[in-house]
Amino acid sequence: MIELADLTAQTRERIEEIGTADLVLATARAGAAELSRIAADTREAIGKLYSPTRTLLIHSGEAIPEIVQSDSVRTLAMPALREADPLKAIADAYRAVFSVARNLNARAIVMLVSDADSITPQWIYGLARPILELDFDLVTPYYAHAPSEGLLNSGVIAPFMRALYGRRIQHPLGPDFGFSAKFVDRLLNEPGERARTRSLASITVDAICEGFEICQANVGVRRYPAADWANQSSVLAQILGPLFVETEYHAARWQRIRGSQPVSTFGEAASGPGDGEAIDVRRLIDSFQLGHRNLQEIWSAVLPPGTLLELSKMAKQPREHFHMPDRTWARIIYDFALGHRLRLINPDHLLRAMTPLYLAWVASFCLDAAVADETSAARRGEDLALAFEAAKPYLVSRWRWPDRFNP
Amino acid sequence: MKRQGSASDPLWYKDAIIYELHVRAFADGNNDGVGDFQGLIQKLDYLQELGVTCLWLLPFFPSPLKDDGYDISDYFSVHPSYGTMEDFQEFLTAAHDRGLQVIIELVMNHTSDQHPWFQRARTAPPGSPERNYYVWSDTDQKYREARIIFTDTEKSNWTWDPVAKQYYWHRFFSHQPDLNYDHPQVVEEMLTVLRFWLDRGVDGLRMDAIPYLFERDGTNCENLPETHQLIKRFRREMDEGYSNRMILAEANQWPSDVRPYFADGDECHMAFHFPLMPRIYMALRQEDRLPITDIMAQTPEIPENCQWALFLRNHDELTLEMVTNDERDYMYLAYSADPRMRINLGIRRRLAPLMDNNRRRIELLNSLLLSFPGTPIIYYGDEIGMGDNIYLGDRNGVRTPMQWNSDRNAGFSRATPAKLYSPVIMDPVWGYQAVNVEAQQSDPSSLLNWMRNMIALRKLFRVFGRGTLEFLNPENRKILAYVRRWGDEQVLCIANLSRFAQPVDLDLSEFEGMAPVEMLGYVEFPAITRQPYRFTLSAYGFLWLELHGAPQRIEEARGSDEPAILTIGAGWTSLFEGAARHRFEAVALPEYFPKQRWFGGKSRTIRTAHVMDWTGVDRPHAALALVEVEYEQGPPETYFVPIAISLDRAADQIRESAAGAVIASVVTPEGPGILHDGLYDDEACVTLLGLIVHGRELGTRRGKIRGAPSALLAQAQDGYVSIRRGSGEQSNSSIVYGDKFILKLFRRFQPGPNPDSEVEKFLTEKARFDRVPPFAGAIEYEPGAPEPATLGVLEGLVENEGDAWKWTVEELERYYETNAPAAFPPEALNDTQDVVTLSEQPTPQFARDHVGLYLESAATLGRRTGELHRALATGADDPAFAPEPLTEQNVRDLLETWREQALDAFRVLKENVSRLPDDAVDQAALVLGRRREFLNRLRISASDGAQGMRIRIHGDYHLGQILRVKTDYVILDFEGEPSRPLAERRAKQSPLKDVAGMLRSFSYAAYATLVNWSARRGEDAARLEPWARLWDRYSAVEFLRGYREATAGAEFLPSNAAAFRILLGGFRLSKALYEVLYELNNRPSWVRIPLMGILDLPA
Repeated sequence: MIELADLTAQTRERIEEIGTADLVLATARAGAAELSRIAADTREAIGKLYSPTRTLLIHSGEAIPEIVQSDSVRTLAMPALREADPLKAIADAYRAVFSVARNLNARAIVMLVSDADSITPQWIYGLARPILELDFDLVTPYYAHAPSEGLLNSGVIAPFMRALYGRRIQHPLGPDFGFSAKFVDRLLNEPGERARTRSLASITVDAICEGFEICQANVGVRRYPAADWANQSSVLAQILGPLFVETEYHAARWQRIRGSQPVSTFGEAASGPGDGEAIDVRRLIDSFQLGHRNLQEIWSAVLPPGTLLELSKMAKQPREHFHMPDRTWARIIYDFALGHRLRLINPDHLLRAMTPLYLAWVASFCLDAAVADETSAARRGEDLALAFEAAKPYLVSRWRWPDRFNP
Repeated sequence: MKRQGSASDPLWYKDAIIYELHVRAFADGNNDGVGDFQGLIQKLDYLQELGVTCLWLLPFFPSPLKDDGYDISDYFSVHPSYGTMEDFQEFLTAAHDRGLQVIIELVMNHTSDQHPWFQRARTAPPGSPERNYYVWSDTDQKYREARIIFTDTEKSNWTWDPVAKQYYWHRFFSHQPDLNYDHPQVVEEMLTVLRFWLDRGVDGLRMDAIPYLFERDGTNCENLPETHQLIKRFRREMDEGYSNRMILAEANQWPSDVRPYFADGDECHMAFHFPLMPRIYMALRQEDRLPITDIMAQTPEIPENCQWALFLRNHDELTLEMVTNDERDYMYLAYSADPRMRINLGIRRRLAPLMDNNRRRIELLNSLLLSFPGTPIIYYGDEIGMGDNIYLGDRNGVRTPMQWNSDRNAGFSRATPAKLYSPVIMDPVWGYQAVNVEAQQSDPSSLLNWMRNMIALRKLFRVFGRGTLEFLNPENRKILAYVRRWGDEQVLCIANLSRFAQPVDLDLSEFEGMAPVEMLGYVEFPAITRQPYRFTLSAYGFLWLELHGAPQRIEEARGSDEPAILTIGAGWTSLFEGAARHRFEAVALPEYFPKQRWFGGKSRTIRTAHVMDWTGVDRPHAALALVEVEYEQGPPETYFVPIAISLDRAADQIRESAAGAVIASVVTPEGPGILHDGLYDDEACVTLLGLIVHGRELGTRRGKIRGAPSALLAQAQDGYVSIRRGSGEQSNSSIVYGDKFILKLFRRFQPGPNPDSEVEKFLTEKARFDRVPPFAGAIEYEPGAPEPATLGVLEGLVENEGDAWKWTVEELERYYETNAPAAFPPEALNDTQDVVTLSEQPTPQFARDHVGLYLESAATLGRRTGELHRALATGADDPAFAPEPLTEQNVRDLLETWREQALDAFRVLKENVSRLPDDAVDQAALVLGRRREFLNRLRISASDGAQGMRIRIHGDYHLGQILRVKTDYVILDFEGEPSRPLAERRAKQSPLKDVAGMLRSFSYAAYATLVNWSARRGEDAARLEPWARLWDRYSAVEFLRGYREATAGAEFLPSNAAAFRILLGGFRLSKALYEVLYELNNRPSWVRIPLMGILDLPA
């Protein structure tokens, strides 16, 4: 774990020289051109804030590019940021940024993880302002994107977390976030193993469960890398594993939450970038059918016979009529969350075995004529979220009495 | 090095599931036939998976093992058969890594006779410090009142030592001499032991046999005061040096005798509840809940940070010390048919054999263990239903090796069977081939899996570890039903103690509207109603039900407006003090109140109501009552409730014309009728007036109610031709008598004079101010308190054209109608001066042209307001009215209040910002974004000294409180904000608070009228906003002009214009923020009005 004392003497001297800051931004970007642009965006963003805001931009560059220095935005190089893997955990680098921010008495910390091309002044303003001016503790991003992008979030993560924790957060795993000093203190002060293995999922979940104030900010269009549909297993394992760990950790809490509430959303919603990449549905269905033939043993250990029967029928459906009902999909996710908790098989294997099912859902989603545009996709997303909420009692009952003798 | 304990919550033991095990019996790591720490480490995953959170290890120290390790010969080491200190430390770390806490034994009453301290003592000279480590005597006749505990083996508590040539004292076996805690070195030695193990990181210490630490002549040598002082010293040592550690007391005593071991939460954290355990078995066998409810009724409350430790079985016998002789005989007959099953005063058997291996009974008892208030302790092996061996000596039959699988030695050890410390159980029913962990792990329906699920379920609900317990008392005594509550968690548990299915009707009416959800399967049951809730439980069945959802409002839940029915006898006594009282208070009044406009607790849930005081009035069927309303949360409130009974046609008329006034249907000796609001009975109304006119008194149960007429009333006593009832009041009720008087009854009762009555009386009789309704008298209640309370005020009726709000709105509609097509005056666009400055300048022509006549009315109202304040400041000889300086402290207090209100308003606004209508979101964000600036504006120099004076003011001043009388005004309602405490409403304040209230009222009128206008003419809405601002500004300017003219030179105002401006600005901002809160809670669509008002305030 990187603590302040672990930083280089040069870095520590620089922190001492800076003294204090209102806002700390951190980005894993290292290139001078990118940094100059981010610094310019930052200046524009903080110019829109009500009060003058002393800002420190932490970056992963080896040296401080003079070009981005200014009175209002200062910089600090922290190469360790480059190693941060936001998909896996709030790694050491995150804690280091938080430690620096605390040392500078910063009131707000903004982590910029998305592709540099996505980041705009609105992006920075959106994540910082609710902390600095409205006393929120965590700002989650509300990205605009094409309906075919970010499907793991819209098909699993967002509806799952909404149903469990009762807050309608569009992108609960960020990865771009705004943090208050209070929440960062909480994250830094946590003792033990959980602090060392903290995941992105745990940030939002902890904030909800511990009563921190959360809002979301319309930050604009996020550019997603093209999905590698032939290799989704490791992504699933990497993202859903920590999500299911949180589910176990907070079981006493989410089982008492019913329904869901919106969270405050600031900024104007942007339009997505159009159609996005074309998805080869045929290949996804082939993958599902292959999985259906080969993974029966694992699926049978996790899924009840009723779901298995539905999957068998789906495997025989003609492509043009291929469809996975929302209710089935929600129950499948819940059954895998339970399987993860019961450690029926190695968790990594379990989540990888879920991949063909996820591809089946993606195929079904793409074939759904209702998601032709952004608005109808949003409506479709709401339907799915409601299906997850409706199926939540199923999860609670299975969680409480995980008897395999069930329908 | 001192190691940390593993728990982060200081109260961790309240939520714990403790697993009691003996290292010797659990798993053998080195295959020498004796369990050890290495074996235990290998089984930690099993324990983690089972779900227990804390391990309690029986003694593992060096010992001759004559009492299963409770005879310790070295406190600082590990018995070589179990491993080394390094093994222990490895185990402790591994347990902590799995989130398991560890409790070990602190056997402090006695040592082994092989302990070096004892060996040294017996050879030391009598009276020497070494000798005095133990209790010696030349005679065995001391302390004769002390009982013998191990009656089967010991005949005396004294044993002759031939070496020492004295008797030594022992409460247990003779090979366990008691330590002498009167000797300071012994205390120090044992504190060193405590520190030694806490330093290693153990989380808790079970203090063995602590009632017996001291001996005193003439006592039974148990639970002596010295014992408590000593344990408190140990606790202090623990608290000062270590965090999140715990002491568990073993005191086999009655609950009332155990209670002192908790002291004030500064002695033991936990103590075993010994008497409960045998009574659970007794209740089951007798199929009667009484033994359980009886012992729980005798269980005292314990401090918040303390906890009972509950168990079904443990390493000792099922002790029957804490039962009566008859009960003990019954238990022997019921549970120990074979005399070999008995030992001392107890039964040496495990749980499953005690239950005749009946799975349902085992589950039922575990369900009680896991749902009763306390921390459950599971004895190793009971989770798989292990059996016992009654042919082994002492209590060894329940201490046999853990049965892991069907391999040799039950998987406990690979040693040759003859080397085992104890034979494993091998009979066909209980043998390890039939009962073992491995088999049950692979059997989804096994007891082990059931236990694992139940433990996991219990861990989801903190209510089980921390909540209160409340028994229900259904008629069927075979059913044990209880409610556990903690915070918002409420769980209903029902257990059938019978071997046959049982029905039960439970009175769950207090949970009316809630839905029971069966906790194991998350199955929702039908909602609870007022009717008894019927359950049917199978043989030994049990149910745990979460109670979901707040109780619905009673009227919603009933789905009908049908009032409750009361049966009452002759006279009011039967209602207020007789059999009908309970239903009247618990049912009828809680249903009636929320329907009343004047009731202030509509947003709260009523628990019940109590009649505090009452009296009948002249008419036999009318009474006056003071009723205290208790809520689920928050303080109670008291209401003044005149009531009457009407029968026949009179009842029907009230039902038809004022159904909301009906409190209950009644059955009386004279026939059926209704109990209703007394103000709907004309005769009762006349009686109330007569009370004032004649200055009469009515004796109540606790004091008296009396009428107090004014001089005005004495002049006009007749002509009360008709009676009408007012309908619009929020917090009071009014009766209009002809065209002469109006009686206002204050429904919310607060001790002390009501400011409405007090101020009107002062203004009428002392200040001779004629712009208020003339005071005519009051009804007062004197309960014997220092000051009487006002129940009602009688005023002269003022002829009027309606209130100023209504008139202003009409004016504004005309204003918008006229100006909608007009071009906005360009000179008004640059008009940015604040209204106070503008009031010092001539009115600009564009304002005169467009706002017109209303300006003059506003100035008149300003003048009347100024005159009112002058009148209120004239009472120098009356302490309630004498003006007082606005001191620095007053200003500081005011600023603090403003700041708190402002922070509250900003917080609520932020929480609700996403729910606001679109047109308000921008304003909300702007206000929130400038929040620090606004907070800064609420800072006024407290040392200024120029803020004027505090006088009595109106307190809730707005256009709705003003009557339009021809071209002038009369000011009404000096009651203040009825929801605030009376002292606050009577407090003297800066008169600028009233001024600010009226300026905000102008603003409200302007924008509220615009909102309504826009609803009809949406296309003009945006264009008319500047017009609204123009009207608002210049009405305020003219009002201020009139006010300042009328108050010129008044000492009660700030001494200079700047101070006037700043203080007024603070009041305006504070008032607008209050309005934000009000609108967010009541009319979110109107919140834009105060938000715009805030943004319009000058910087």
